[in-house]
Amino acid sequence: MVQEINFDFRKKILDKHISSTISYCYQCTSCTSACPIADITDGKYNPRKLIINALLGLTEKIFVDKDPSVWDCTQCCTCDEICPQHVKLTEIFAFIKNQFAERHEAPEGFLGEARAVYENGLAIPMQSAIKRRRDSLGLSDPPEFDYDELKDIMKMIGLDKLVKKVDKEDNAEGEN
Amino acid sequence: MQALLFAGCTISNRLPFLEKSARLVFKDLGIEFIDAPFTCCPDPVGVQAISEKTWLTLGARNLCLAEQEKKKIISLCNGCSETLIGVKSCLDHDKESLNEVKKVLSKKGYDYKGTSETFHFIRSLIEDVGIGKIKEKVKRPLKGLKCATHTGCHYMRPSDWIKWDDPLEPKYLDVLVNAVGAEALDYEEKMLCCGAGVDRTNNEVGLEVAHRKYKGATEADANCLVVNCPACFQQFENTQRDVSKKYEEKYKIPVFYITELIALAFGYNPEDLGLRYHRNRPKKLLKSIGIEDPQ
Repeated sequence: MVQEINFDFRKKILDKHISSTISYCYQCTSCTSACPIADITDGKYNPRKLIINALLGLTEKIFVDKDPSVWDCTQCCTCDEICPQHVKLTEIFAFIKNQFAERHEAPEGFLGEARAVYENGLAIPMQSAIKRRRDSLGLSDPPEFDYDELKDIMKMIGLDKLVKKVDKEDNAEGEN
Repeated sequence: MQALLFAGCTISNRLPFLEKSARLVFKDLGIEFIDAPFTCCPDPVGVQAISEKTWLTLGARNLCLAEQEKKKIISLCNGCSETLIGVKSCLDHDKESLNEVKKVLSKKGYDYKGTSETFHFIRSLIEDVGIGKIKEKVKRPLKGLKCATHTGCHYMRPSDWIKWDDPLEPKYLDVLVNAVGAEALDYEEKMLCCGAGVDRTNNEVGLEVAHRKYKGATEADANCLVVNCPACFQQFENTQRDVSKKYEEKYKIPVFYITELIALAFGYNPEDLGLRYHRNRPKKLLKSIGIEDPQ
């Protein structure tokens, strides 16, 4: 099957300060050999393939076919240590995940946490049962924080737009 | 030296008993601290995946607050320490991101200088306190505890950022376990991730990661798992039942945070530490090595 090269994506990933290490990859497979998820999934998840797809700008494979899916990375960073070319794979994968988020296609398991941070100022808000547990252990309340300030900062960065719930169909139209 | 203690939201708002043991141990060892004036690191897995800019900027805001206090941060969590150390490292090396972050933060009156220092608490125990002092305080060696130790990934990786312990064969968790009289074991899959990262989107793979861990620990004759990260702690507490069901094997291995073991060895009782809040209750195991709450 013919794959289209997305030159815009290639330019972005090669320009990005840290991700630019991607051009040093010579596809030696050290990352995949060391990857626990590649082992468990019998190669279905494969960091080497993700890197070549990104390097060549094969965005259909990355974002549509998800073959392999960047979201299967467990983020153990073993590949970063193993790579003989010092390619910063986990950073590159973070860039790809951010692109999913820009397309409003990030999985809820990740998006939900970012939304919680946007809505509460922290990923895991306090619950009354936990507060009672803290009291029973003689622990005082966790430090106060300025949520309004955090929210202003997150808005300045545009996190509000990324975590907004988007209607899938509207989104598909916008992409054409 | 006074430090800023940063428990992070998983510990303070879900697993406060871990914080309890850490506070007791630090106090006994003479680590002086006040609470860090921030609450969200933010998470290097969840938040960074959605918006690296948010991760960098909120992380840098925390570092600004620490800079104002002129104190080192001691973090109780792998994720929080990775974020605070990683954000500083990224901003040290990436001028473009640094300028963007500084511009946003300046609107709120912050001036990021890049002078902060963050230690994972294991590093503080080893470098600021020293293993000799810890050994001196042991009143009750935990002989009989056979520990499958698990540092978790973000304790020492990526090493480009963290520069502490060995990125592929970390040793200091084992050193601490042995210092309190318990035994740190070698076991198959010792270096395997806890699986919490992949579990968010792929539960089947997440459970297989945990399964391999429990199998390796059991085959090595471990009677407990010992961790230094609240995310790994939760993953191991929460998946044993599902793994047992799925694989028709029985796992009910108690999980300890390393500061809980140190506190027990220093003479604190399970009740003082809130060990009753563990899902896989360690009561029977502790009784077998002679540790019980006074009647």
